[in-house]
Amino acid sequence: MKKILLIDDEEDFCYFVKNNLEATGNFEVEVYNDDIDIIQEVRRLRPDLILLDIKMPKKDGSDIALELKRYRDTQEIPFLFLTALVNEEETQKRGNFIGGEYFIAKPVRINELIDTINRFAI
Amino acid sequence: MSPKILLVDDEEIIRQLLVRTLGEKGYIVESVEDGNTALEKIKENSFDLLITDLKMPKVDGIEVLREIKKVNPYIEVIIITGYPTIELAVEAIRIGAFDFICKPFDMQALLATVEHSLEKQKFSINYFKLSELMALFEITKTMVADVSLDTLLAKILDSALEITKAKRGSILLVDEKDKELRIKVARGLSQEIIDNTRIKINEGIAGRTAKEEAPALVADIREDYHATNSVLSIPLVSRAIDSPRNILGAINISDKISGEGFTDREQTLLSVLAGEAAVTIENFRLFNELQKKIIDLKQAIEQLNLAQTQLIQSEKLAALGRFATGIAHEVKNPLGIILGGMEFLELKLPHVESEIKTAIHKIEEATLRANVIVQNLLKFARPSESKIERLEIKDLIEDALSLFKFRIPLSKIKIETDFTKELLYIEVDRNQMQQVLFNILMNAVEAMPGGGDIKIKTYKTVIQEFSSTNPLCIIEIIDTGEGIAKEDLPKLFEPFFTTKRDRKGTGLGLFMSRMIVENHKGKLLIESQPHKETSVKMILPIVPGENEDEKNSTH
Repeated sequence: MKKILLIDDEEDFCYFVKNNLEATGNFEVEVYNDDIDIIQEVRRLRPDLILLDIKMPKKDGSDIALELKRYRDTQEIPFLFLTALVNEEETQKRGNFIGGEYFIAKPVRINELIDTINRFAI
Repeated sequence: MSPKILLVDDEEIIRQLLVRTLGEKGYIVESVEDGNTALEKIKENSFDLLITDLKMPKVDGIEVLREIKKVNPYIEVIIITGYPTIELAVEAIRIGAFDFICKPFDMQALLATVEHSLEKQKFSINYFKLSELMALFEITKTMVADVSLDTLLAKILDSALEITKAKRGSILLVDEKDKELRIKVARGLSQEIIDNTRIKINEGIAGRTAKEEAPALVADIREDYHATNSVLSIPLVSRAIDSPRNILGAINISDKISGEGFTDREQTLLSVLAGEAAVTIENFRLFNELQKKIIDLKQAIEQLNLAQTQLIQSEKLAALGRFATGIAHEVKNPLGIILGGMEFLELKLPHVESEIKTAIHKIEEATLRANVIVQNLLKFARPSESKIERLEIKDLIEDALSLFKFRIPLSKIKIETDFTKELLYIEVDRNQMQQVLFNILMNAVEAMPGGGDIKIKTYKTVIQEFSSTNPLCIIEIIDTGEGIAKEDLPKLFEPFFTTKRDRKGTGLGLFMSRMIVENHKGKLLIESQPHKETSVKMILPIVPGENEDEKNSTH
């Protein structure tokens, strides 16, 4: 069972992603709708993978990513950007890597998300 | 003299910043904080350019702009607006503003716009002034405009012969290039003499007349091979106001019908006529020069207007881009929720009847389709950087065709090509052009669900109305599909217009294709006879091929 932390301010989106992933029986999904104290949340949960939105009310997803990389106890945790800011076409053209980070464009089909998580989760 | 700029903005800090920056560039800048004061200033002083905020306290910026244009129609106006509302800005441009700039603005862009607008203003003023002068000329010299110089000279010569009762005569004018006298019109002289006579100033009778600007009466020159008795030669000297005395040529008259010599009185009469004739000839020349200058200026203004339109177009596109990016993000989030929700339903209701499954599937499809539309919208927002290269059109089309055939199975459709034998080169972005060809071919294929023929033709042409007389190439794609209804033709290039809503058309294909072609200084035209033939023409300017370049450089 892989533990996934989903950080996104869109509650309804999180609700469906959580349910769809957990329905497979392979994932346990924790949702965090706020963009403050994320590092504490990550330390508390110790997830196998983080799904990270970029555009959030107070913090930018890329800042959160930098923070994750800064601390020794969080830098090993893989994270993927799951965002509406990019297009599927744009991400696919670059093999989904933009600036060294992995991007998944919203809206995403659940099977694609599962495949990607399995590739990256610890 | 430095251009004078009046600046209107209610924010003091912006006024200070602009006054300083523009001042450093050598412009004379005055600033006021509201539209009414600006209007007063413009009534008192002459300014070349007005830079104004559209949203001003107390008065409507558009109204002020209207008033200002009434007071000084020559002034150029640049609008600075805090709201990037395109409608308002376009309205301002329609009233006569040169351009608009959105706050916060980039100083370099502003300076460039100021420079462009002043350049246009300079041309406009000259144009207005010349137009006024032209009107004067047209009133006083209507007769001049209607005839050619040759007809004019013939009339003058006939009058001269009538006055002097002579049989032979000619008018010689100074050739502008070699400064020699040439016969422009003659009576009683052989064509050979007319064609071959070249007289240096100061040589021969006419030459001396021209040189000395004084009439010459030679009583007896029987030795001369083409005169029988006496010759009268009168100089044509222009005395136009404001220009230096200018020798235009001479009128030569010989062989009185009576066989007698010319009299002093005849010389005086002919001198009066020559004086009038010189003025008329000079007017004719001035008129032509003026006309040429006006045409040049008109062209210059047209070019500036075109540049301005393109500027507005690109500004509009940039605004559309920002708008699209915002929309895309806002729309894709709910699309993500819908898609996730549908997949959730599929998981939770694994054994539902097939009707519901179909419904879920349809909603998912629609969601993905909406996503494609948003993605296409974003292509404007973030257009990939274009890479312009010189391509031979046949190569370009064949590449696009093979890609197209690879991606789209064409079982019932026959594609035929008819390329010109000549190698025609264009400077384009290969990817963008392939996208255009792809769109057109895709439309053709979709217009022929039951099969049909596509013909791709290329040829070279020159279209006068196309602003230049440079050669163009046409890529024409003709299909035998259902065609386009007459009432739909004007809407074809509108964004989101589609006749294929049921077949997943996004309504952006032709819109984008036209933009791409126009960005390459080309045109996209569509003609259609429904159920018979639909033709899409892509017209692009030709550039010299590699070999031609070499040819040009070695010569």
